[in-house]
Amino acid sequence: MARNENEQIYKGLLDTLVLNVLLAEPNYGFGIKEALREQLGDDADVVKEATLYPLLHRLERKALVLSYRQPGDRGTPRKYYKITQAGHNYLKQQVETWRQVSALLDRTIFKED
Amino acid sequence: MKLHRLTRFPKHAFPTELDTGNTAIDQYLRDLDAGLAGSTGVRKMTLEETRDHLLESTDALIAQGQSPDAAGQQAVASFGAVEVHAKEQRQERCKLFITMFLRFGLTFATLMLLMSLLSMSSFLGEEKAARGFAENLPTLAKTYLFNATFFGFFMSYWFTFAFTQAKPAPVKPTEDGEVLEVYSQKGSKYAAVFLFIVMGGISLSCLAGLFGWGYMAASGIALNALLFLLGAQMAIGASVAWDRYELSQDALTIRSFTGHHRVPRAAIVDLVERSFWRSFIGVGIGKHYALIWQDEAGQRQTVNLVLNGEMHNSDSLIATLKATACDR
Repeated sequence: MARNENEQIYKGLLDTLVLNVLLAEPNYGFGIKEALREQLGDDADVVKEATLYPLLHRLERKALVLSYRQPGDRGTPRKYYKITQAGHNYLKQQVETWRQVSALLDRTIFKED
Repeated sequence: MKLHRLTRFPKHAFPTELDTGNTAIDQYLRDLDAGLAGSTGVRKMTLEETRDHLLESTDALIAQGQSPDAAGQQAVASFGAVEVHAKEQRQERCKLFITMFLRFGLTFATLMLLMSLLSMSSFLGEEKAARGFAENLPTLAKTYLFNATFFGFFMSYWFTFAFTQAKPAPVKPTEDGEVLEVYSQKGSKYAAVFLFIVMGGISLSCLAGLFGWGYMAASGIALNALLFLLGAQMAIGASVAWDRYELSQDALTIRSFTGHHRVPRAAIVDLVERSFWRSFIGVGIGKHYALIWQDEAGQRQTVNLVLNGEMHNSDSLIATLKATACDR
């Protein structure tokens, strides 16, 4: 149950985490997943491909990322995702929101007596 | 009934060039393909991305010590159920179809309505044209709905389920570094010649009609003027197939019939996509962008870029120019 709830929280965070990965450089599906795996460590299981690709396509429809293809090494083009200016702005807002949530938790639940 | 199968015209078969030699991956790709909507080119966009991921994932697992077969099976298992990905692609296409249906259908029907209103007698006949507007309203409304539905369906179907983005071409190595070239495919140029002849012919007929000559003479000044402009816009706009963009480390070079521009990359301020209506009435078939840059005197300049999916590397150019503008 706790694990399930954890996953729900992470899924809520996932668009922010994906945009944050793309902040460093444009990346492709597997590259994004690997970057998230490194960042999330033991909790990496919450990032499943069945969640990641629909999320990337949704971010693209919302113009927060754009995609382009480049010739790949495996005989087929590779699709890259890149954060847009709107994506930058959205990420900034999201990070600020999470910072406020974190500060709120620090002041309340995590407060040491 | 699996309606998406109707969109797989003209070829239902799996594109065998995507076979990888790994049994688990190949079977997964075949199963996925069976659930996807669209022509081979449209389906390949999803299949290629999936294939790339599965092969990368398999290689990573092999590097960890697994056998190729076991790695392929695990990569497929962790990628998730085929139906989840297939359903997502179908829903995405469906949303695009509805958006395009409304956009193309309403635009075309409005244009046709405008033409009907400009020349009621040739559209409805002398007798009906003599009646009041209110009496003709049901006929006009029915025609509007028919045009919106028919043309909207035709165009949105093509755009959603048939049209495929041109394959990316490798960057060209030169003495001054790599150059990203954006240019149209040969097939697009043939289509552009056809469009130029047809639309140019319509435009010239209407121009003749404006002076009372030829078979368009009876259509009236307003309709002839509108069709002359539309025909000329499409005929001239077809020349976009010969536009060429070259992006080097230092500059973007634009070559088109209207001229030759060189914009230093360091001077690029922004790349703004024009509205649908601006692209619709602008000369050049494709999406219109305003490339804003600053000249040596510090004055802001704007160059119009027209890019479409039939051009190799057009998506890479947009991404790079936006990144250049962002970095500034």
